[in-house]
Amino acid sequence: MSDDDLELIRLTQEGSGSSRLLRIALEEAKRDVPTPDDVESMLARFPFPTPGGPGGAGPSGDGGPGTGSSGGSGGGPPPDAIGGGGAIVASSGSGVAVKTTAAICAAGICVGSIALMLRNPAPDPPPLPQRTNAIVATATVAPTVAVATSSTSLPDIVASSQPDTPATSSTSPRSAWVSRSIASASVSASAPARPELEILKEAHAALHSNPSRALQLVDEHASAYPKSGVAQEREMIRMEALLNSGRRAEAKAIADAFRARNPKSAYAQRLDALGL
Amino acid sequence: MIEPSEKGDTPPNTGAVPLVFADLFREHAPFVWRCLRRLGVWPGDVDDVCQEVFLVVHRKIEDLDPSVSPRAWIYGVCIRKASDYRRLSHKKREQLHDVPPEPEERSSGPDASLDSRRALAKLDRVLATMDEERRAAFVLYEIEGLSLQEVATACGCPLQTVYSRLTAARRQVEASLAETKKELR
Repeated sequence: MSDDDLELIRLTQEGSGSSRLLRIALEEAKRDVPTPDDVESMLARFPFPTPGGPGGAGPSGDGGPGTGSSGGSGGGPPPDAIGGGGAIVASSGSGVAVKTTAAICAAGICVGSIALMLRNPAPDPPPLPQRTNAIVATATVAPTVAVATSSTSLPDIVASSQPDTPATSSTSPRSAWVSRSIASASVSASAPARPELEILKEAHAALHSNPSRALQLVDEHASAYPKSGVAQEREMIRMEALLNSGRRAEAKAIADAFRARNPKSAYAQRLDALGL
Repeated sequence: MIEPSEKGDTPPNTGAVPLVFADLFREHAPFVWRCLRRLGVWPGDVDDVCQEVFLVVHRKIEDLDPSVSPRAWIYGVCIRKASDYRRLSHKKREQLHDVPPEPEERSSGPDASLDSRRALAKLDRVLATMDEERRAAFVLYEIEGLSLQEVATACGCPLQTVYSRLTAARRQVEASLAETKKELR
């Protein structure tokens, strides 16, 4: 049977016999798409370089990044966590656009994982390997670039993913949605115990100011979420906290075990950068 | 974890101009996003699920045949991701928002766009009661405008099955919307 034999008159077409209410609903459904700006900010969220096309460096390169603020409070259009991340990386290295996006790739792993976590607060590893695989695939494209991520970028970017990031373009309905959605996501994440995100964010924040507190939090996370999908991120915090506490030997031992357990981890280069 | 239907169903790459991820994203993301919404992904989650869909696209990009539109395949990924989403977060979501909220009443009188939004909210309520397969067939054909063959490819089922699902879905949608109207009277 050929395709043509079976094609039906679409309900939105004349003569389909569909009700007016249904036609209105379907037409509205067809119009329910993100704006081009929204598409660009979604593209900028990918934890790997997404060059090419009209936006190129645009999504992460214009607006927000210029402020260098980790809270993303600058005038940049996308109410988007990674926007702030771009700023940090850009200010820490050379101005090559590819480098910036690729560094976001490395640093964005954590943000990406946490975004997933918000959706699935229960320990639920399946989505993560996909994301990590994607990162590994791109990491080989720009191996030197990920190393450019300074040790400060990870916590900063995670800080910028906090729900209070202001939605600067709140005039568009969808932007309002996004900010609402972030708020509602964090509400849903706080269901039973203390949410993973909260623990890890606090640990990140304490990395430099109070590494022993960061270690406590990491332990808290490990016992509360033994099968967490972001265990790698947690262990990265642990290693950095140990380093910051002057406990390099312990950090190194964990790093060796980490590499053995996760030979393809996208964090391998980061470990290199930390000298572990 | 590899999803079963991600393994072998990507068209072979014949070595033409390679696909560029950003281009694919810009071309298809608006429709992926729209489709995910109608497949039951909540507004607050749709950006994330859309990203998950495109992470699959990114992973498979080298296997895609640049001379064949990956549209149907991408929609297939949407269906699976939306299904995962509904399964994984069903309970949580249902508690948070039991049914899709109706747009708020306004005192400013009749407003065509408000009517449209209300109509869509009604449709969403009906879609939420449908089984996944019918819903997917309906959304892909009536909203996304795929051909029946493309729907069949996306759903991974024979053409005739799509036809049955679609006609059943249409009957269900019209009947449910008619019920809604009666209730309002």
